Amino acid sequence: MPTADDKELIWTKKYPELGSAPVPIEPCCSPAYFELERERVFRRTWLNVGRVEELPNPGDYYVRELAVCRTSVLVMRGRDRKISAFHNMCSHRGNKLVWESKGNCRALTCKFHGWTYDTSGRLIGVPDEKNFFNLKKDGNGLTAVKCEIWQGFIFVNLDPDASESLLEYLGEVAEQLKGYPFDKLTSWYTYHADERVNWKILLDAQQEGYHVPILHRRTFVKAFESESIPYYRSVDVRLFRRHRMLAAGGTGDRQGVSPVETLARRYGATTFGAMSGGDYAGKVDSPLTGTFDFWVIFPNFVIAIMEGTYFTYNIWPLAVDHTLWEVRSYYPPPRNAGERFSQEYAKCTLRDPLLEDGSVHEAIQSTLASGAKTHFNFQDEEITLRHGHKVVADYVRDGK
Amino acid sequence: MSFGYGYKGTLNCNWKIAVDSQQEAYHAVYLHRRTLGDICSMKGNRFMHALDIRFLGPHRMISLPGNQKHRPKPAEQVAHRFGWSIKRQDLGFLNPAELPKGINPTRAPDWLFDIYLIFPNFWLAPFDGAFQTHNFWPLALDRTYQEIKMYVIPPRDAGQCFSMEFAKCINRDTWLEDFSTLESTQEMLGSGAKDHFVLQDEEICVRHFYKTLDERIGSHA
Amino acid sequence: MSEQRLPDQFSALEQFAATWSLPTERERSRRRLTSTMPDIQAFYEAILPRAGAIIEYLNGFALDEMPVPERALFHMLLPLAEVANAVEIFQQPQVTDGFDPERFIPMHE
Repeated sequence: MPTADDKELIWTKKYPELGSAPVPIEPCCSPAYFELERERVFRRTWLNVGRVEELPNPGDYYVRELAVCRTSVLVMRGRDRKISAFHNMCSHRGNKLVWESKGNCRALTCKFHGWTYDTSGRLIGVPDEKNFFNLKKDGNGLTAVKCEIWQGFIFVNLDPDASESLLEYLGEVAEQLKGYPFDKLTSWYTYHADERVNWKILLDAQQEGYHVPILHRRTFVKAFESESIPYYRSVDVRLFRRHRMLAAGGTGDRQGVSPVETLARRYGATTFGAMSGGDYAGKVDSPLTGTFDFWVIFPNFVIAIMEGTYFTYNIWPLAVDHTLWEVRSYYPPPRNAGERFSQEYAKCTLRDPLLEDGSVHEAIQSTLASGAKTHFNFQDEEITLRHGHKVVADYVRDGK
Repeated sequence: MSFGYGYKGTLNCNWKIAVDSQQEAYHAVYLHRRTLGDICSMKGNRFMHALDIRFLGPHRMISLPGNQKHRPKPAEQVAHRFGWSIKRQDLGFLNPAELPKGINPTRAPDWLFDIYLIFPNFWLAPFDGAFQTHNFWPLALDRTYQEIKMYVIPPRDAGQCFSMEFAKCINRDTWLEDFSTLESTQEMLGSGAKDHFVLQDEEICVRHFYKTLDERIGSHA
Repeated sequence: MSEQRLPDQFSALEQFAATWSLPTERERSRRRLTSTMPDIQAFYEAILPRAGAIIEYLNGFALDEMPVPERALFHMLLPLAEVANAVEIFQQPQVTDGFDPERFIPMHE
């Protein structure tokens, strides 16, 4: 951990193996590189596709369109309460089976010829079955996709030969996030942003704090301001084989708190209150390093934890310059109007800074293809970006 | 007969997926259960099995029956007083004594229409009182331009116009059902989840189509 | 006083003329897709029982020489073909699970 005397180059000293050279821009605007990422990153890693609370009852299902993997994934809780995932594709002639984004069913029927599957993906009904040729229903169920759950987060892996379990893949991350009360924060709000930006550019913009004093000077910079350190400094940065985290340390309510913020904090965690480390209802001691620990699970899933609330990003590539950004912020289920108001305030005061973030994403992408610059120049606090680009490059080169 | 009405559309699907959807009647009972309804399912033939299927070199023909006990809905009853629709089989336009041997080849009393698929991409269907064409134009691996046209006896008065309008609306809604599965199928084909189609006996024209293509493409390899 | 569009003997249907007397398929199809079922149902129930009489009457005019009121009535008869499916089959304006009708483009007008 750095001390007040270590003001510069802290993280590069901690992880010297990454070096400090400028990093190429080309992977962020090359369609050929994107195709390699598609095959060697997104079809070979564990991808988060939701949480168990989205499927409370047997027969519940939802669909995630994984365009980057060229498939649509159906996640379902069976009659036996087990959660499974499948390619959303009929075994007869390939039609997409489920067209709604979510629902509950006793069985699922293809709209083309009426083939029917149960909630465990087994083929149970074929109209005019005798007119087929020794059709074995057993061998013609929905094609399963590896599906495992960690702390209530549902992950899938499109690689049928994947040798690592989800827990093995997460490695130390699972250890370090043990004890965080994800299962108590089960009320969430979701945003989608469809942006003309490469997925790595979007993630890069979010996984460093260097931009906070400028881009968020009107919103939450005050949570992290300090007299002794004039620029943003993380409290800690930890880089693992694929995943990474940075921890920001709130410096308290140094410039006072607005009337609405004060009101909201009486009933629950606000974004600013949690980030600054102030006081609010529902503040629960949790295993954090700073006040705002930003975890990136390779390749595209972010879990940002605070005390009493957390948010996630799922960053879905659609094309080299097109990404769908899904943001969810999580709170305890509100029990009354005050708590609901508090969450409304917390959600809006998270959303507005994210709009500040979003304002630069497409602007960056629009200049990249010009060729005017060939490299990014990262500073020490942007070591997380350096790490991210390196892990992607390793996968693209070696397939792992 | 002359051109009555038609529709065109460009879909994000391979041209063969579009052709396949129009060269089997297995889908009719389920996919068109709302539009065509009881026309497709009859006593002793619940799944609209063909009267006959013939391969004619690279081309193929399916002859299909319709339910003689079909019960027309109210607006349909008005329309059928004045002209043809896909749900009406007794217009009597075709003279049985002069019926070409390729139309209703089995001379079935419950014949509804024939489908002729002229390799590679021209679909032609004679009915009793109209005929239909369907062109499938490949634009790219996963993009196809289609035109569907109905040729009719030109309507000469308001009643015949209404009858044609009704037939057009039923057909159009049926074709919207047909088109609905094409892009969703193409979307899933690239997933790698399945690598074969599983075909039943009534889908034998699909089998013949791919075999013919393999022979043609293979012979130039 | 609002303009009378239909022939005198069909003045009972005048209230529907402004909404449903539409000369092209595109307009009639859009009307079906953007109307509520109660509105569609009301039009269907008003016009269906009179459809036979309307046709008998209009059959007395040559198709391309209809006077203006008869033409307006004719253009209000044709939408019965549009809404029939909505009422009798789908119980909603759209084809259930159907392809996007905006991408299914008429070639005949």
